[in-house]
Amino acid sequence: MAVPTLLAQSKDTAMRAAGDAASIYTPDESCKRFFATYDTSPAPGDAWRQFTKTVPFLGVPPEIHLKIFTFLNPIDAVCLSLVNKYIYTISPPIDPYSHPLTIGEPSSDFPVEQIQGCKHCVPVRFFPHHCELHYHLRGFIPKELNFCGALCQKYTRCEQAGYSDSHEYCGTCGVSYWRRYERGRRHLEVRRPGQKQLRLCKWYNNPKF
Amino acid sequence: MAASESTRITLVSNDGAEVHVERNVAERSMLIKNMMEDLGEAAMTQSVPIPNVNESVLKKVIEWCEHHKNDPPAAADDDSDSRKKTTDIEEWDQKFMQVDQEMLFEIILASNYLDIKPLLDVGCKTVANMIKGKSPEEIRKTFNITNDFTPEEEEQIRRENEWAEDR
Repeated sequence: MAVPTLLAQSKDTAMRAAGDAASIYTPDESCKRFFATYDTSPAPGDAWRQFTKTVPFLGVPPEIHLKIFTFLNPIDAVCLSLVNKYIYTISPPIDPYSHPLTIGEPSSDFPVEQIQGCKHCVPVRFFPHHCELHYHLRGFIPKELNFCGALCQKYTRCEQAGYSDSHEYCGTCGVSYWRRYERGRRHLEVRRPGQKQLRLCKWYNNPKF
Repeated sequence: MAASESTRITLVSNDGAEVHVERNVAERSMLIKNMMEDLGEAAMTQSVPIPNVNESVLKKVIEWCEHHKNDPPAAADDDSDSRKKTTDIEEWDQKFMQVDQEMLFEIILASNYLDIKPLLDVGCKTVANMIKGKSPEEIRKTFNITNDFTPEEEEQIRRENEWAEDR
């Protein structure tokens, strides 16, 4: 008789179970590399027992958490993985090596279809799609850093004092933090070839007119 | 068949309460179903102990089983698509899951123990819906979780994922 045991599941067993259940997450050997530098204790297999009734969410075995992960889109899965050490340790990585901040963008490896909007969602170019991971991680990043959507695709420091006092420009690539979208929220083509390097899709730059 | 459906069995929760339930309702639980098959007629005369579930949770789970007793059994692999849709919870199930967090996770634990997969899915979907669209800080607030990352560990996570430039 197959009786489900909540107690005897090790981390590996739980991860394998989640891998079988969900097609999105396929934890394998590379996952161990992902977590190798962040080896926390105690062992996740029994760690959930330390949590009391005051935190019912943490008081369930890891296979339940992994099942919850299977119902989340990649943006929400990353946000859930960052709530505390224990959840971070058991969470299945979406990308074996890192979680790019552009998760959610249609052209990224992990596009997220917007079924129900969130408060971070903006009317982006690809309308039915979800916003991107970096909107949700603002609180996890130091306040002095801003997301550079141009060349850097990560949170960067602004230009140092003396160059600009407006804190508007990325200190690495020099593009304004605000110049990710033009009016009408069209994504800027910052890598457009040619000498003039036109960044804005103004109507007078359009050869049609 | 009709006679066996109307047969009632007695479940005993971990706090000693007896709960009488129709056999076909109780057999929504694969654990109980397998137990019944193994025990045969002996199960009809004896009470069945459910040692991991208390009375209030057991009654709640049976309430769900009674409402869903006529549901067709789910195929083994038909849930691969529905897994990704966290909002497709039936209206009755949504109301059923409008309980406090402690009861919600008790139901999830009980459905896992009793091996009632559809109820486990509904429970996990309910939790997933509570998480959707929130930042890590908002999720912590929702579930009363303490952030135990040190600033150095947060920095390490940012560095591993290349979320921010090196300081």
